[in-house]
Amino acid sequence: MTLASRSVARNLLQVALDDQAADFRQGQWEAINALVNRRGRLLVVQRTGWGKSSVYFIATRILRDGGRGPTLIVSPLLALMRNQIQAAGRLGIRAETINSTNRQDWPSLQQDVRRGKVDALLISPERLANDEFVENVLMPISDGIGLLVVDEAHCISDWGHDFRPDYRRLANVIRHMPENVPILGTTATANNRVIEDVRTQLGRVGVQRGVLMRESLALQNLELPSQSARLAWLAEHVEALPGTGIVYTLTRRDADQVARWLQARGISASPYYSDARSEGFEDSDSYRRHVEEQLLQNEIKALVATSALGMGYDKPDLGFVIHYQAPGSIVAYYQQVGRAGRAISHAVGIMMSGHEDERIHEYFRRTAFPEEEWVQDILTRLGKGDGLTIRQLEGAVNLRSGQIQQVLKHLSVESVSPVIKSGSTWRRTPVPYQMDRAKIQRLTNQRESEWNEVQEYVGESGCLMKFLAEALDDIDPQPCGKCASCTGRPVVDASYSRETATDAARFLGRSEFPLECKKQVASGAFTKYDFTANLREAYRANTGRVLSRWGDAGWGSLVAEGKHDGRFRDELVDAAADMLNHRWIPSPWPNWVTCVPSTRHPNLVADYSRRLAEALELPFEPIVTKIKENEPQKLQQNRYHQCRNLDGVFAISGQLPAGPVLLVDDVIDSRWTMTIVAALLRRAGSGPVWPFALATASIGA
Amino acid sequence: MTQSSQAQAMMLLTVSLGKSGNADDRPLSAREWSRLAAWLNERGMEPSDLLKGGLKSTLSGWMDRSVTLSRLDHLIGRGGMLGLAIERWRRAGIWVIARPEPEYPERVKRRLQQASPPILFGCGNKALLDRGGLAVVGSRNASREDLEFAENFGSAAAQQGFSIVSGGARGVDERAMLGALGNDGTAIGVLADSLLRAGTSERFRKHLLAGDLVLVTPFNPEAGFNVGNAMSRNRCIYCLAETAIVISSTPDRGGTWNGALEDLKAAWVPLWVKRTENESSGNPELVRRGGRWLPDDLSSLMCLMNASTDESDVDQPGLPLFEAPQRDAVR
Repeated sequence: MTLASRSVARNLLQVALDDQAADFRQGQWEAINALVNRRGRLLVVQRTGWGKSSVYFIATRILRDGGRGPTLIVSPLLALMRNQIQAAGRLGIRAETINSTNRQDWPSLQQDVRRGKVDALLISPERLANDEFVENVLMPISDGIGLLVVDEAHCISDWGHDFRPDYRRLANVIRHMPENVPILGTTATANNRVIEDVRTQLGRVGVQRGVLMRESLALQNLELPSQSARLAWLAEHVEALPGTGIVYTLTRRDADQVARWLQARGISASPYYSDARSEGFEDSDSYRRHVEEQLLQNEIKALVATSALGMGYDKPDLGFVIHYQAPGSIVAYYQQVGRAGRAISHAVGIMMSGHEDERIHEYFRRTAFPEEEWVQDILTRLGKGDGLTIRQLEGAVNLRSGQIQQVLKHLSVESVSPVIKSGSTWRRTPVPYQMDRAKIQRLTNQRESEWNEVQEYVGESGCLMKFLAEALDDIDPQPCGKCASCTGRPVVDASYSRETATDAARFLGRSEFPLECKKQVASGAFTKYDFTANLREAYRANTGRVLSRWGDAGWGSLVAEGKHDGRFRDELVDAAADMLNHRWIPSPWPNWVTCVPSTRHPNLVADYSRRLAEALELPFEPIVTKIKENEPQKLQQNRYHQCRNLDGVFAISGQLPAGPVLLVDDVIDSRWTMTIVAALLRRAGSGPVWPFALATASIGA
Repeated sequence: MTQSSQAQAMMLLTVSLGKSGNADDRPLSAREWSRLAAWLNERGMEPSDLLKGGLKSTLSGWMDRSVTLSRLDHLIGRGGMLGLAIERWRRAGIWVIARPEPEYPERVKRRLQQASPPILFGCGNKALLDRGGLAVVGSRNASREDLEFAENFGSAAAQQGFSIVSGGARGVDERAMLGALGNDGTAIGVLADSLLRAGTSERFRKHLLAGDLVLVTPFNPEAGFNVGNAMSRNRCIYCLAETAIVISSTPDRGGTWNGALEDLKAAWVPLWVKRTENESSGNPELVRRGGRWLPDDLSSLMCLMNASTDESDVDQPGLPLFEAPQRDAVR
């Protein structure tokens, strides 16, 4: 059954590109033909910029003309890029997206989708994994789904570097779709093993492979292990790099820190990561779209981003991609560095690697899967009764809300799952469950060997592009003639001045950040203290400061050392006093200093606080006492348990000095202890409370 | 586990998915499906052939007043929705058996023939479907005495090694099933709606996990209650069992009443009726129309199995179950 010939399709291409002379790139017509005339399933492995959107929009036009239902595009992108929407518009295709940024349009969009007025609908894998969305929007589409497009299809594979749980769900959906639904999977990054895995997951899928090598990209590796050296290099060289670009970091806090440093050095850079927010923006999505657009328009020099800025971000003239820290796999590296130089003749890709990378990747591997114990706790609890909401689960099991979410996510993407969401409650299904330890071990080993391959790349003396192409099983890897190894001279100068490096070290030492105590407590958790859900304004602490992150560059490693040795060094006293006197400058200035007591280490914090008080020339008054032994707060995993564990534990004894007070603790995590001690001080009649902690334990990934 | 393409094609044609508005687009009934299946079969084709190539050429020569080409085209075009729906159901532990598949309960196919449901959704131990057993039916709001009787009957069945087949609804159904399950027995629940909810409910979950219970439905596992569906699933209760017991019934209305009459008419399994003092009960009338009074002594339920509805059997001497007055009533 032939719906369209090549010449018809070529006419559509010319319309779409607004170019009378346009003809298909290699593979494009073959893909369209397979989808519309044979209702085939196809995995297309082509580099970004090959023109996959032409394929699916032309196929959509042909299928819609043939009376088929709309195309569903599943992509991690927030929205179609502007040039894609234009091309779709020229073909008379109404392409829409339903995502968290256009919530106000949902009712009308959903209605249009159900009535078949939308020709192509772009949604995220997360949305597809949302049962209510599926039920209310996708199931009622009157004409059915004419074509399913899976963007970044390598994410389906367990072997993929960024396997995502929601893609696993998508793979299961596809497996249950009858063969008369045409499916197009696209990816720019998949080695043979990933392709093989995607094939087995999707069944009966044809594969089309193009060349992945990038001709315009000049690669170089820079060995600058210390953060201050890397910051110094960035400050001195980023401005001179071609055009605008991306600096990739591994964690959110590094993205924030590097962006702040570049800004301080007069370079226009903005942080980008999932949930990144900024004043003046309603939510994270609107902020992210704003900075994405700024980079597209070359209004800023660089985005400092985690891997959240990734798949599908399509800027043809991106001039450089720098890795501040090494990514976890070569596939991930290729994908990120491959964003540069798509439609320009010269672009650079620089990989720096730091001594902290190993630790961060180890943390990623360790926390990739939920603990078996958490899974058992939750399943046992759900096994009694007819379902619980997340809030009810938090009251029932001692797990952090993030851990509960991770467990439910992990379980609910199993093809046969022990849990299912029905409305807002999670119910236990009649399915026996065992965690697949062998599989988790296999995936963890896989990630380790991927990381080892990155180390090899860092030490590679041959052509860097060829190394990447070979790792990706490219069909024809050749020396690139452009990288530092091929040309025998550096792409970029590796030097930086000692002066800038000293500035960077000082910047890292001043990387304190605000400490906001809680405003709401878990209801019913404070029967002794009688704090109600909304903590009264008069009991709340002011915005305090945290000096460092536990174990981090800057002061974090000294804090860790002090905790271990049983005494915090004087440098930490000086650092805190310096911060208070010159940067924080709390107003009204504290009249006295007190600290959070501990029965396990009674002197550690008190001793430090006494010295800090001396340096500030303030009296130290240890009037907060511990009247009840409780479990370590770090073992309490969610808000209810964290609150309840503190009820009745502290008391204020003795004469309360007048005026504002500086409240000191060493390492904080959930901030509940600070919140409660501050509230007790205020209730006892203290002045404003300024909380201060030496470090936070949360990793900020 | 993925479904065979036969089962996929049958589900596309016969299962309602999501909220379908247009009456012309409704899924095929069991009988409509049977007509199409027979037509395909005569031409050496299988349901999965409808998924390949153009429907028009595959079905050239097909003429049917209600099963039009455009209706079929619409139903077959629901592949995307089917994938989404089945993925969710599979995730909740629900499996699918299509009529041509070997696991499909043989009793149902033999008794209902063309009217047997094309697709059965279920969860729990599939193997129980061919175990037969005692069907127990009764109204939702039965008296306390009847409910207790249902539970005792279930436990008696369990102790004697028989399965209970029932509707899984609150009331008589549930009490009989739980009576059996609570005594290490087994049960089949044939649901008219909400299989997914029932399968994830506390009352059934542990028995499903233990392999003592199977729940099945011919309908979308997330469908809500619907009188028509409830009536047509009643047939499956009788047809999965070897004999049936009516605990309570309301004359001239309701599923229990109609289901029992249907069984008497089709003579699928013997119909036994519990004796009652309640004057508004439909039970005596069921006996007048061919049912038989259930014996008071439940120590040998085997006898309920072996008897056929044939009157000559009833009159056979030596059956201790019957007393003269009831024997008369059979006529």
